[in-house]
Amino acid sequence: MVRLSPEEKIYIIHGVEDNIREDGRSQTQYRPIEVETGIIPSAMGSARVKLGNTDVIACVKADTFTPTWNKPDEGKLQLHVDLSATASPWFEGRRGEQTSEEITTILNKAYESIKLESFCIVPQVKCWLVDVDISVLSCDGNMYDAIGFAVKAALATTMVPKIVASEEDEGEKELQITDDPFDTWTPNVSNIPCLVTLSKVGDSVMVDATNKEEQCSSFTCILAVTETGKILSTFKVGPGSVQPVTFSKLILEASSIGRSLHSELLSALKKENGLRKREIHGFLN
Amino acid sequence: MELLNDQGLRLDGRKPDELRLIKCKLGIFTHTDGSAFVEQGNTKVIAVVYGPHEVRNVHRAKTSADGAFVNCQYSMAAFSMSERKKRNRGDRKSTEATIHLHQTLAAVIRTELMPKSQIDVFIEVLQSDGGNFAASVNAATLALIDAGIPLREYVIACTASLGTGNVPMVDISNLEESLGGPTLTVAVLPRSSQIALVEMSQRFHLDFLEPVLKMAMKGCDYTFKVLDMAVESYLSEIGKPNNWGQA
Repeated sequence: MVRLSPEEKIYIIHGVEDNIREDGRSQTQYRPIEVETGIIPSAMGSARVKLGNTDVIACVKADTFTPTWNKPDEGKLQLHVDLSATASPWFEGRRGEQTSEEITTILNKAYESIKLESFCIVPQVKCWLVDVDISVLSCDGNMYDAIGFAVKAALATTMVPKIVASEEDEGEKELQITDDPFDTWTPNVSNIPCLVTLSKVGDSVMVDATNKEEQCSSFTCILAVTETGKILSTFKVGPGSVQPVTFSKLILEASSIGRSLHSELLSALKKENGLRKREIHGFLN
Repeated sequence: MELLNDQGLRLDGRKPDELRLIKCKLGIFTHTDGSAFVEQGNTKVIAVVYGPHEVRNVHRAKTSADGAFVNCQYSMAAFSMSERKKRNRGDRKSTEATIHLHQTLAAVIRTELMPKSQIDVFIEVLQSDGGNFAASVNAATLALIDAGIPLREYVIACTASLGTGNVPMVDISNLEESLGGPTLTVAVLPRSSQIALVEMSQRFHLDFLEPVLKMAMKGCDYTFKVLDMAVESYLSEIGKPNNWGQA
């Protein structure tokens, strides 16, 4: 990571306050976002998101489990983040694993409140356990937004084989996976949030901070926003604090940004789905 | 299941001496000193190089006045295989690959030119379909070239096996590997045709070692040509616009 001198920090802070950032963006402008789904064909669903120079792959694999008695008809969504050493030499070996675990815990909390009734096969007997593995391959700031995007895009294009519960046999239901590989279902992603990171720099607030800008930020918080603009969860990372009034402003801003992000992502996915024959480019283009 | 059918073709329709399609790209990331992506069939690997730089605190003990310390890490993404992988690195297979990678790269990097420094080579296997280590070596070579680290020459790796009727086969896929044939992995320096690393799983009669090894080296030669072409086109792409650095 590049260390900044006080003068460089002042330059960046003044830029943000004047609403023209180092790379020419305004405070509420994202870097170009690239989404490509299906880049890991062996998984049930996958997506790669490139947000500026931040590069994230999310990959979905589903398994079944027996639900607990207090949530008999709810599936589980588990996120696992891995910070690859390709992102920064800092993530090499054990240190990377520790940081990955921290981020995994934070993310799972953010996604905890989602109701997952659609992930149920037979109540009290079997539900889907959906594992989303996230690999951060390159990180130039705003990792959480990229992860949120990738998770939603991967889930939206996931194809899980259907399981049919046959007639009861001596009180126990028999579950069978269909033989037809095209007989699949796709999870409903309308309640899967996007993550919006807001960073406070000086007196102003910006989205999509780069690595350098993150170093100048005095307060950073991440909000999980649904398609309707509702806030599912908020968490803050790093040091710093804000006044309660500012925080309510942040929430309102995140809500509107989140809504537009959702509509952008959904229209992009729809467009991609409409392409008749699509080659998977991955890292080759 | 037979490794070779009556027509002498393999399970995926290849001839015994046919490689899978190789695609590669240099310079996929901007924040690193060097990076490369290699795709051999369905095996997809990313390699990243940082350095040469000052030896980091964690590796302080490995500082050497004779030459640079080559630090490798081989890691497989959790989604690289059909089953979810719980541990990405540090398991026995990855540790073994890390050691092999270090040995292979140490044979070509001119470490003596960079005393008291460190070169990081990090591998991330995104998708595994046999020959992961070979693809990692090839990706590492490209990333080192992209980083501009002085090399003696390319180092290229390839796998070979022995099929039905003792026919040597090149570039073994995951299916062929798991069907139980022996797999020989070699890393060679193609210009001087020297061997940097030989690694074999399972056994076959000594008589077959030579033809299998030859097959693997033939595969390396071909891979070398493909990678060399990619390097040439990449360099002309980034070099031409500024007239090769000349005013």
